Amino acid sequence: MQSAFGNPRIKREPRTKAQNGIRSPVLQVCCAAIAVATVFLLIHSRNQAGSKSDQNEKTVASIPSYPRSSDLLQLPAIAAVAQIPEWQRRLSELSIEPDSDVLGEIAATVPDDQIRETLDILSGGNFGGAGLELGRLLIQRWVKNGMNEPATWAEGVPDGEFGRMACREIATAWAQSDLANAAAWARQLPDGGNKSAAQLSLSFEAALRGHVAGAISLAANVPPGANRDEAMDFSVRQWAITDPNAATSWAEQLPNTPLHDEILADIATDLAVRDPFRAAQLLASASIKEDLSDKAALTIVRFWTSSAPERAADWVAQFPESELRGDAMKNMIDVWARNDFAGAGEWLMHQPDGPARSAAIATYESAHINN
Amino acid sequence: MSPVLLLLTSITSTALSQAFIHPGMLHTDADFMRMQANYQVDPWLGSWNRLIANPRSQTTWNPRPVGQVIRGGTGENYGQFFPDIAAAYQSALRWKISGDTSYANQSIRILNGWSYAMTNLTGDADRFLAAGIYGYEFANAAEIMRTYSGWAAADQTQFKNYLLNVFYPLQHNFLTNHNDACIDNYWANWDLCNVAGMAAIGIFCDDRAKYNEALNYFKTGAGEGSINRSIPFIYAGTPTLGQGEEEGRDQGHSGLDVSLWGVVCQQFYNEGDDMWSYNNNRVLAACEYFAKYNAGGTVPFTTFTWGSGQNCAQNSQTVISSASRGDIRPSWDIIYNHYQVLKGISAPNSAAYAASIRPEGGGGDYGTTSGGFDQLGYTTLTCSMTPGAPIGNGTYRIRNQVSGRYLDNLGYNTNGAPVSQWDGSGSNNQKWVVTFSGGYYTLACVTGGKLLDSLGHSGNGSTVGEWQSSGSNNQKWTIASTSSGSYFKIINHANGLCLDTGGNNADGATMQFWGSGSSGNQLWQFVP
Repeated sequence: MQSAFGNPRIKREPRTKAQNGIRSPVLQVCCAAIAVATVFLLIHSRNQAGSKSDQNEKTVASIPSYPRSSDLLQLPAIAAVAQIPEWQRRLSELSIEPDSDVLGEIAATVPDDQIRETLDILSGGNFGGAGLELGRLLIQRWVKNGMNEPATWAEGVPDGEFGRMACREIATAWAQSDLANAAAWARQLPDGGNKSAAQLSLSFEAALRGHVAGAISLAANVPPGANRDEAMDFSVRQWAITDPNAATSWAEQLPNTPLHDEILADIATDLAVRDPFRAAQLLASASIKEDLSDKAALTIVRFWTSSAPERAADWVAQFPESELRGDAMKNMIDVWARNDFAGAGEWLMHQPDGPARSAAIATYESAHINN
Repeated sequence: MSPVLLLLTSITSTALSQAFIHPGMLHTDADFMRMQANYQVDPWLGSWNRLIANPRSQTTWNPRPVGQVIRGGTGENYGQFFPDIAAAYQSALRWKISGDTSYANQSIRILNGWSYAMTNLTGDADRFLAAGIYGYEFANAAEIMRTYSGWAAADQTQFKNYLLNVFYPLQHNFLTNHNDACIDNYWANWDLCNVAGMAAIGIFCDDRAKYNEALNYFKTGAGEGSINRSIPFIYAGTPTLGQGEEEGRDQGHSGLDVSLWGVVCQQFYNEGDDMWSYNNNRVLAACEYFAKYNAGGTVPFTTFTWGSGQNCAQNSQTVISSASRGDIRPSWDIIYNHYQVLKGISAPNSAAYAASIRPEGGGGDYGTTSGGFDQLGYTTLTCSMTPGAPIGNGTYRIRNQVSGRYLDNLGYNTNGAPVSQWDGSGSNNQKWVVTFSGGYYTLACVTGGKLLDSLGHSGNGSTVGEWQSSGSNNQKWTIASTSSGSYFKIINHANGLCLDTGGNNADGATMQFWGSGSSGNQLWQFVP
């Protein structure tokens, strides 16, 4: 297939050491110009190379005749003055959608002592998803040599997608070795999206390590929204692993919002795996929106039936005649009959007539056929 | 035979041959019987201990499903996806082996959580990797759990739809279009993981077309993941060596290819398509090559040339890459056990490499980033076999491939009674206690306790019967693997002949002896 990028490439002179470091103001201006042009071109090269599956991406035919990256390099005013970094050249020459293999190869062209300035260029420009991925790979390399430099650098990165990615990466990496200092660093970041990203990442990391109070505190400092709710929910669920009563009591104190109900329903569902009796107790005592409560109840019924069907049956028998009772009986019989057909039948025989029992009998008969 | 009967026989035979085996993919019921029987002794035990120590194998692991998973580029969040898949698989294994239903419930909590929440998988081109790797891994977890009574039918249907709607379109797109890149732009692992994912979805969803799409691609596909292209160069010798497509790139990705060949071949094998042996055991040759080099040996290398980008810019590698030499992935006991233990094919380098890694762990034990989760692991636990004993001790029904009927003593309890076949009934007449001891198997019918016995017969067409336990060679049997996946030959030690239906597919037909051949009349499946 003939590529739209098939122009012969210009053979470039090897870079000198001075050219590698863009310290000179003149070079900085030139590089900035090239960076802007490259970004412009990169956006269009991505459009051209988009997968057929990506219906939103433009086709080759619909692209106006913009100068291509190799055309740009032929501009004498720029080419004569400076060489753009290898990573930037290769990024601009990508003729296919970026992926981790290609970006890994590009990241490998950046020497260790140029990671910081490369990240500066990436964070200052709009390199799209490829820039983010490249930045992520470079940060992952950088933090292996210590957290101080990357952390200090991240403090000055402007708020935005790149900054959030950078702060998440640094926070996550730091949490592996020193959660306390990572949290202290996140707290003193300038207010904004970058700080929130770091705190949310650390909240998850802290919760995974059992530092629940810290996790909740970190999440609570983030402005309200779905991300914060998710972090709060996860933190309290992690707490419930070791102390479900305390976690439940804490959650019940939350304002009467969807988050309150979701956390309690999630604790009950999580608990159902390990201790369905306790999960049932929790559900009975908690005030949760009906649809979430019913969903959790059915999960408890199924899980409980798999280990102790008689006890699950005792619980279900307490449900008043309702749609939930019918669904619970169907779920219970579905599991029970497949494990102990006779036992399930015996229990059903002794249940009072009603819509729930009828529905359960139909499930029972279906289980017989499937057996 | 009348035309109508012939047609009916043909239809039945086709239906039987096309039905998927469940549980299948990486592990069949017979595999689980073997694990259950052995997990408290080494080498299984060491791997089991690693499984139960893994944080993702606990009922306290809390999944974090989201609606959209992004791998690569803006908003990347797939780091919260792959640990949950490992958790679902590892919990499933714990349940299936130990019988503790709390792990089954944990696994289906994860499967349900994701299948109801996640509707989209996206990102940069890495989304295709995600579709392949996570598609096959998640489908394997689900395949184990499909046998659990606690997983509601509606939830299983939801999971099928989830695989079909979120993963399969990306897999199909990639294997068909390769993201509009040059056909050899993407390394072999990209194709291989998508072949694995597509086959797994085909099996889980009982979708023969998708399964065949994956199988045909692996045999003859145009991209770098088809078998000949993923192993482009073969070096004759002892052992035969095969140069993998990524050997000039680095050993880390070459090791990923090894683990993916294992998955691809085992999934097909368990459904009756032996890709392990395809093209003269080509996969083994590549494993031997990798294992030899990564253990410090020298191997030949042929210049590898490929086109990259959209314009197929030519590139070449002239030497093997030593980058990440010594790569370790928990994927070697599946290879060693299949070739050397099950089939008796010499695999000296793979055997040594497997021994150096054993006992294998799993998700997160070999790196906490995504690479540490690119394979499910634990193949020491799931694939180890006793030499010569492909079937674990246990009670099985034994089903013939052609007739679809089960070995049955018809309730007879007398020495010398013939053994027959009958349609599946659940009767004890069809249940056989299979025991491996002293290098051979005995098969005792639950009804009466008599052992399957050659009765001293040694001719083709002679009858097979039962007799009380005597220690005679007439009662000793070899169960031999075949190229038909989960079907085995049952060979008498005294006369060397195979248990065979004699081509009679009717209920009550007496079983016979025949010399080993290619007929399905002498292929048997052990159904726990």
